[in-house]
Amino acid sequence: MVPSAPIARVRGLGYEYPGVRALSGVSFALHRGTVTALVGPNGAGKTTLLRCLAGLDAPLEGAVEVAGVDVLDRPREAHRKLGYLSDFFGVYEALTVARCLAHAAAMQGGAEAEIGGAVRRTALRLGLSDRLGQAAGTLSRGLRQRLAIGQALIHGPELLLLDEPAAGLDPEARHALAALFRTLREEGMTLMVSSHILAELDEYSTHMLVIRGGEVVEQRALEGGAGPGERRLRLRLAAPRADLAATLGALTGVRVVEAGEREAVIALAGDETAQAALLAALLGAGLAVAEFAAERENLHDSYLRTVRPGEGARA
Amino acid sequence: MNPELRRYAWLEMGTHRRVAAPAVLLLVFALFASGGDDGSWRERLYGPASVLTFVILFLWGTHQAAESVTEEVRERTWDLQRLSALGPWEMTLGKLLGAPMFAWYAGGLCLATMAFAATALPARVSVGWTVLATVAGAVFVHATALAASLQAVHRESRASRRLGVALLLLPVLLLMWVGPFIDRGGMAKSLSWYGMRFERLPFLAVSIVAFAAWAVFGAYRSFCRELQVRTRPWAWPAFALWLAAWSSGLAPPDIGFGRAFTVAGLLACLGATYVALFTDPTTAMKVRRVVAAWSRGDRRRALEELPLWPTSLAPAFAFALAAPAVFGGVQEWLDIPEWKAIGDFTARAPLALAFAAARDGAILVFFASAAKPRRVEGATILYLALLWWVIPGLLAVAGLASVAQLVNPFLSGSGTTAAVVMGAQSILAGGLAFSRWRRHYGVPARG
Repeated sequence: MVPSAPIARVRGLGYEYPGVRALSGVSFALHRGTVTALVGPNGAGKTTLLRCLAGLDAPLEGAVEVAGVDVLDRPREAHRKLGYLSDFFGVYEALTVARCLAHAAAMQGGAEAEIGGAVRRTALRLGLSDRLGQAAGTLSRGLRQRLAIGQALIHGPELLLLDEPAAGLDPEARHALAALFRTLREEGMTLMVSSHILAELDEYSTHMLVIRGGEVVEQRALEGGAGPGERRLRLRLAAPRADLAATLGALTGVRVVEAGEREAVIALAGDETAQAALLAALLGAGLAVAEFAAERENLHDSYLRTVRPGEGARA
Repeated sequence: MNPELRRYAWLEMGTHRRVAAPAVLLLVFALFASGGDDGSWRERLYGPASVLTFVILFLWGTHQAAESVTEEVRERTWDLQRLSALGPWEMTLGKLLGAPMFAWYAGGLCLATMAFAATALPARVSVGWTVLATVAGAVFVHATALAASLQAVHRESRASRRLGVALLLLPVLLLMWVGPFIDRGGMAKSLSWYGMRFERLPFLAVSIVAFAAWAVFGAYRSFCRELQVRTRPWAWPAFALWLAAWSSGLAPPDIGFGRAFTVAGLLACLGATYVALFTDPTTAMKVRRVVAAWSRGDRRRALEELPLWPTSLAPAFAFALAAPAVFGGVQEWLDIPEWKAIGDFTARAPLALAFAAARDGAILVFFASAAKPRRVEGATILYLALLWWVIPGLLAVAGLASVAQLVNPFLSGSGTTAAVVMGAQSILAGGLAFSRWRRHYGVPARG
């Protein structure tokens, strides 16, 4: 399966604050329908990167393209195609929720006739339908957060950039937010989410972009080498087998991601039926299978392995 | 409908305010109309209506326009605005007409009352021109305040934000100063502009309309910068040239357009340079952006990133070089009491004045290039005061007049000496500023 066309491309991005190089030679691409977790330590340049992507801050050098639009040359056009939620956002406190959403839609060039419908749909999606007449200033922190996200996505952007979207939310609201992001992804929207809460990102992210000291350390799919249409499986044997990698490699539809004498991680092309057939083939090959299960790489482990090689949870 | 305009209508024009404003004004005007014995009740309305128009439309409206952007920054909604797909013209008009919307509503009622009362005055007042001048004047101050508000967005402290706003409102004060000055020139009823006679009020009204158009365009350009819309740096020097063309028309006809324009051009460009120096923040990072773009051969981006002040300083040098050839005969025009010091300097050493502006710009860059720059404009003003007046004054009092002339070479009386000394000072200041900038910002540390 060929990956979808990139919705965003960043090339050689450089940004400086007085005396500090905040971003240096940052290059990557975001593919449609993915959720990329933007992770890194404090001061790594995550917020700066998101602001450059959104066309809010002009980089010192480099190029940013969103949905085929050069953000630096045509920022207003790019804004129709992207949404951005700042980590320190504000809402118009004196306006009602409905008017806040309607204003956001109109600011993104929404047609007058369609704004009412967009407001109702967005409110429904974010659980704000019963708050439309309430002044934004009277909303709780969680509801304000939802309203701000609604403002960022009411115009149906192709790319949604979120900086610490779950900060200050209770567990229930975080869970609802994760469900919303999964839904948006299923609808084809591309998301990039910066957060320090890796467990939260783990709920909905498909990719990870690690940034440190203003440079991209790694960008990869969280399936850990499993490509589109593949499932990642972990295999553990009761007794070591020196030829484990060779045995697995010889099986149809199997790609070995990593393998030792007792453990291996493989990518299998196919669904659960293919997985059952593979288990039968492994047993048929005389392997003493003690554990055989689908595995999704933990974002926390993956991040630690990237930023501290040799210290990952399974290392 | 412009979304910003509609948002302000939601916020500013609630039913209560729409009803209460005319009701309260009606009561106030009824009070004035019924009291006193001077003239008819309509005549008695003129004064209060004029004052209320000024207070509501000019003072309150300007405050609202100035607050329109800083309030967004304070409430953290500015990013939402900057992320919109609206263009800079839509944003400019939305804010310009939206933020002072209620001031226009209430002030408009006062203005209508004023116009109604004016028709009853014994001395005929041209209502049409007065209304035009008032409306244009309000647009001018609102747009200037909006531009000032946009300029202040990136200032690091509240104090310097206030300074930025205050300095950008200087044109308002300037206009108030120029008006009576024209009167004193014996042109109370009419004036000559490029040899043509105009009645004073229509001329001022049309001039204010033109200034208002420039102010609106200035706000638009400020929005362009905030919205990351790329623009080439021609607007600020173009305004200075227009100002020169407008003001040189007021010179006595026998001086000649070319000579008057050269002198006015020099003064306008120098004035624009100093206004920009203290209102358009020149930060070390801005210099870094210019240098970075220039280094990679992106000349267009380098020009786009330029601070405003060098763009008006460049034509100032052109006028300064041309000035000695055309100065004969303009000395008398410049010898106006209020302008005497400027006139003397301009006639004596035009090139030195341009060098002085370059030096003062370099001094500001020097302070902006500190490792942790703070109160850049304040420090610059302090050191400029020392260099222009305090140190030369002390040296002169101490009997060291020749040394004083090295600090302020305009005291020497020789244009050539002044140009050479000020040129040397500007090179020295430029070298120090560049050296400091390169030390702190030339090679940034890793984040």
